[in-house]
Amino acid sequence: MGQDGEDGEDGGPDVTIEAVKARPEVVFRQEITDAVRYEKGLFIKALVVLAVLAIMLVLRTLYFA
Amino acid sequence: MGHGFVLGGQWFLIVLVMLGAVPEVAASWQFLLVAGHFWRNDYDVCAPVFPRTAVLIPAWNEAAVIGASIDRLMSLEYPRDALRVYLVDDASTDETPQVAAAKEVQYPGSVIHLRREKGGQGKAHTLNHGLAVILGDEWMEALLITDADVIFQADSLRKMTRHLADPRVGAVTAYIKEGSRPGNYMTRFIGYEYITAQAARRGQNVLGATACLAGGAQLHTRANLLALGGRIDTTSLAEDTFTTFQTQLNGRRVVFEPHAIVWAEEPGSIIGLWKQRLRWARGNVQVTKRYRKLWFRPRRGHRLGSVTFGVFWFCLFLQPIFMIVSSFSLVTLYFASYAGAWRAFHILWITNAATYFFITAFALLIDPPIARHTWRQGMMFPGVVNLGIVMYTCVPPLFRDLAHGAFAASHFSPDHAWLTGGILFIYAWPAASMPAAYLAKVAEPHRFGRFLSPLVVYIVGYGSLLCACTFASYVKELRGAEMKWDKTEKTGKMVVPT
Repeated sequence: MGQDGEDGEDGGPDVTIEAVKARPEVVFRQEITDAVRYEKGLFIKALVVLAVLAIMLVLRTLYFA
Repeated sequence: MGHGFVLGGQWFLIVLVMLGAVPEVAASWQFLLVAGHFWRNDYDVCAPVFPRTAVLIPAWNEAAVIGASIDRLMSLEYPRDALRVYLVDDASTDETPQVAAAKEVQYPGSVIHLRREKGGQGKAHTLNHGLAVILGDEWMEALLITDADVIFQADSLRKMTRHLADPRVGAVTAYIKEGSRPGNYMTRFIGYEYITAQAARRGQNVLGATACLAGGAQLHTRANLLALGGRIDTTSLAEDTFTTFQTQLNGRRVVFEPHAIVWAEEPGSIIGLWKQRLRWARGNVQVTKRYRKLWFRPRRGHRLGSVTFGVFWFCLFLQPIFMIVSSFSLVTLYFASYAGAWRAFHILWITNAATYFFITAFALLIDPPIARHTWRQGMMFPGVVNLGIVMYTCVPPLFRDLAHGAFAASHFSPDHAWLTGGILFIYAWPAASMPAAYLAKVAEPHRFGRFLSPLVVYIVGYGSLLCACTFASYVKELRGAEMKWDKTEKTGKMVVPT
């Protein structure tokens, strides 16, 4: 399946290649947007993990030391 | 005076004990950099470019995998007239030449089969044979070096080439995933380890210094190859790391593209892993020695000499030494100051517990599809014993109650000697886990090893197994052992998502 989600009827790879060549700028922009969004998601995931870790350390210090 | 000396000695030992946490803290630091990839990445200078790309595949007895790899390369979402595959057959004795010849006929003008009649000199020599041909004409603008078993996802190459729009970039690498399915415990450990390795590469993107291009997916510009002398270093077992360093020393950037995904088959046994990692670790020893004037000396033009990069490199390179020094110091401190040792032990292991939680949780969140397949191995990465120590230091009352209950139920009352032995065992464990991991490798070929070796790996930890490999590499290099290219056997057991 190509980035445009439109594989050709015959399933041949050239169809997808042509699709990429025909409108590379559109495909490219979308991929960059997706990549940056994914990286932003990682930043948020890191914050969540750090917050959970901080809570665990506080609980450990208060109740299990 | 005497008291001060003793106190100073104890503090010195406590510092040495804490060295055991340094590699984990450095790894956490590297993971924190991953979060910074949102701000500091190369996407703003990317563009949709499709340079004429030659794919160079060194192959020795790869008949089981090479046909599928070529088919996948030929179906990449990349202009067909801008893609050629050069297969360098390193005097294979299996069906590789026949498979290559058939692919040459199937893809006329796109697949080129080169053969070395005298092979066995190693991957770098095989690559150089192909490079001489490829650089012989002007067609190639970019070169993708890969391995015979590596399967590229359809969009991976163009996601790599988009970085070549930036003229400062000399090389680009991709995200390698372990693709054996259903796989076994070992391939799952490696699958999880590769999430952490690619996270480290993301961190290195942020830092601006890359330790190593993935050997199975390295894209170079023609200019970069020419600046490297048009050939790959043949004097070490880590030709890809040398290439990576030299690219950056020549003033070009090396970029990791985490969204370009390729799949590789990795060893499914301890012996296979040991061969592969010993080669890599010996290569790292050679790199460390070769670039000894580079470390911790910041320079203009590259960041390999930065303090941060040096810390990352040496924390990995010297991890077995850190573990041995920490354990030895803790045991010594036990005899000098029981209370001091107990306190140092707790600080060390609470630090280890915090870094373990952060790295494991974040790594599993970085790549959820792989995490679903490898989360058990991710959690068991440090091994049962280390996890027990982590749990004890995090929740001591729970363990005390459990221990008392167990002793009461079994009518066993441990005396002073038992307690001393137990404490010393736990203190010495980080160092002792390495020879224990080595025993798993020794046992594997035997009849009982099939069951025992995986059990031992789960008990001592995959991390300790890797540290044992690294320690073995020191020994091999100190002895000046022969540089033997032990190829990782590939069987074509990968199942790649489409």
